[in-house]
Amino acid sequence: MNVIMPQLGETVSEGTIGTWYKKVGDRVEEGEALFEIETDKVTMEVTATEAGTLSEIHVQQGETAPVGTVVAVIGDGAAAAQPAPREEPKQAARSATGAPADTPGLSSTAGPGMAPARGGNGATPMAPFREVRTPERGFGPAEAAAGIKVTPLARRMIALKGLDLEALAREAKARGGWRIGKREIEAALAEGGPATRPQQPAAPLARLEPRPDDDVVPLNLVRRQTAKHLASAWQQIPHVVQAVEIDFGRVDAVRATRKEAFRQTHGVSLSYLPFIARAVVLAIAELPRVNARFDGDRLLVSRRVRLGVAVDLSHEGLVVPVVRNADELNVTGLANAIGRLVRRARAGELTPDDLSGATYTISNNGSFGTLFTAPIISAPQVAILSTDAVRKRPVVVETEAGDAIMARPVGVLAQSFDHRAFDGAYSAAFLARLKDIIETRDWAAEFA
Amino acid sequence: MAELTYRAAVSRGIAQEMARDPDVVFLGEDVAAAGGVFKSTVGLLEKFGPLRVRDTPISEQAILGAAMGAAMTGLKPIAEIMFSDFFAVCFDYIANEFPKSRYMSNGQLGCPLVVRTGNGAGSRFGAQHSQSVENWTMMIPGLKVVAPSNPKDVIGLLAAAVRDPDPVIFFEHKSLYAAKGEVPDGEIVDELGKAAVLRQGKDATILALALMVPRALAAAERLAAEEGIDCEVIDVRSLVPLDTQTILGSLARTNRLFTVEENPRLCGWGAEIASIAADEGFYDLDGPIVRITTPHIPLPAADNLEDIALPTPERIVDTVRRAMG
Repeated sequence: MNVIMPQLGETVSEGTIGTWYKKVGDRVEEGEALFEIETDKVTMEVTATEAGTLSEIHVQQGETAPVGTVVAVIGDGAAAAQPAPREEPKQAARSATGAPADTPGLSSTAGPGMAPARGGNGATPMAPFREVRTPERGFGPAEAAAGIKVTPLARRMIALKGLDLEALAREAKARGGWRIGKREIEAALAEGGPATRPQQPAAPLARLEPRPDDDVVPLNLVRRQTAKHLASAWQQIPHVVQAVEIDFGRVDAVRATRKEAFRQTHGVSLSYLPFIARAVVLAIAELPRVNARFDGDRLLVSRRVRLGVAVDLSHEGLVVPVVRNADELNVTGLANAIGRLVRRARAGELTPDDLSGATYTISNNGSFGTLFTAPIISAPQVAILSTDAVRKRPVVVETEAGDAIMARPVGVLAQSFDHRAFDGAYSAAFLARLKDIIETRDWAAEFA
Repeated sequence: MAELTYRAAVSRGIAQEMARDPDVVFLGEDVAAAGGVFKSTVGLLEKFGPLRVRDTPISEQAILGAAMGAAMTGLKPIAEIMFSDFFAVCFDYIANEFPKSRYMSNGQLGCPLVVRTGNGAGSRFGAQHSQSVENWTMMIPGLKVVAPSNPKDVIGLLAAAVRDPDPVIFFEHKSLYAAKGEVPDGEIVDELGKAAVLRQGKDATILALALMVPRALAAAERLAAEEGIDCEVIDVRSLVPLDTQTILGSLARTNRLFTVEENPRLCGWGAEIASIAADEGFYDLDGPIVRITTPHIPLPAADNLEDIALPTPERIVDTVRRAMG
């Protein structure tokens, strides 16, 4: 049977083989992992759906091939299987942690493709018809007050940027226009007028008078919106902060050997953050209540880990894009996913989907050299972790020959948690697990 | 690098594939001894001999039937249907035989053939010899459809079509045969299913095919110079598979979509793309999707009438300007 490059997402058109677990000539059992593939969205293991002998490998480790390509052939020792295109290839795409992939919208079957080409390059042409993907959410009304029409794009921009439709409609009417489109939205954003302030404050803010030696620095929209959320979170949530010191020696050992190759292969640097993120995902599996939303008399504990990663936009504001499938990714996958989100955040390309649904958040302040930070929780989540600088410090290490002082790379992880959701002992246990994982996990094996 | 005409590129593309693979054969009306009525297959008989390059009787059904039989039994035929209008004469093969054989035989009978044809208007051949019928084939599941607009794409897409294991309909444009373009030396192989962004722009996306591509480009230059409207022009190149990624990606950036189609209005290739954009790309649209097509009429034979029937750069400029309002 042909082993085909699966389609791991509706907009995914190719995948890269990260690692082959089997060689030509190896025996393969049903359900055994064959190889790991990376797409631009996710890293997954592909398993065999039939037993046999791996007789041919057409796409090698590190190579990229389009979805539907015959990647390998598993035979009973006979010649390569002839193309049987009407079968939907059914490799179960399993996540790196072994749980079946059930992310909505992903399909593990290739499209209704035709047979692989018997041509020079052996690649399979794209499926001739790709199913259309209707947008899943709407963005507000197509018509505002007084019959002013709103274009689909404008509806999305209004929702995304938190603009005031009524104010925009009034402005359009006043101008004698009949529509709100991209032009009108961009003009409103440039002016920063009433349309950009959707919520009138309940009581007008007491205005201060600028002094002669003051410079007036207006706060941009992102900052004003963030300010509202932070103030509200601070008022509503009883924050308690706990911290733990972590020896990053093991992580450093792996980073030292892997960093260069990683940057060459993936174009992202291998910082501490993906290791910490991985440890967070693993610790959440054992202490899941930190990964929840507070809802008055109950906690909504999430079975998935959707990890928010705070990204600073050159000191002009903070956004927290979300790695939606953090619980399915290994360190490499997390590094790539986070790198992509950061890049898109800085290019202003994040979508509403990228910014919603986080169940736990990490605020990474390490590059600024701080000792620790007490971050503010992003409601309705119940916890947030700050990672700060990792520095060589003198540390007491117990050896067989007695206590010794060694230089070790140490960093502080501080978790702010919502004391309504759980108590200090639970949070401390979570931090203790994090410490244990980071300090003792076989990190080299994550890259094998 | 060399400058080649579109017609010379056709014979170079066929020769490239016939030289590479002895199973590639070529048949059609007057393609061998005469080198093709459009002189697009000159020299092939001399190079590859009468076994592999054959003149056929004037019977489209015989041409495609023979091609299909050859394809089913191990050859890789290229069959020419001189005027794409004549697909209507051999449509049973195109609609019912080629695209269904692999499926209905459970993979036993593949159909790795290419049907090349002279498509489109502008050469004063009248209503029954000037139609643009890409949509007649785009709509049939099991066929792949490409339409190159320049000599390099002729060779590259023809090579990709020949190497594809499924039936591919290859629409050459009759009025482009004399058009010249730069073509690199050596083997050229392109990919089916990939559109080409020929002009980058930020205000609107214009999709075009074959003869409409140079017209769209000309219109885009005028729109930029005269109206300050910066258009992105995409040569769709492949209708099946369709490069929705490039097209929707462009729409996401420009937020306006126009198509320039030589076919008559109803059910032209642009209608399908407009439907996809209005679905998947709905929230990227800042205005209506506008299709610029030939009116829904039989094409006139008179020069002046044929010229104003097809979309012209003037009509494209005018329509885009008014729509962008």
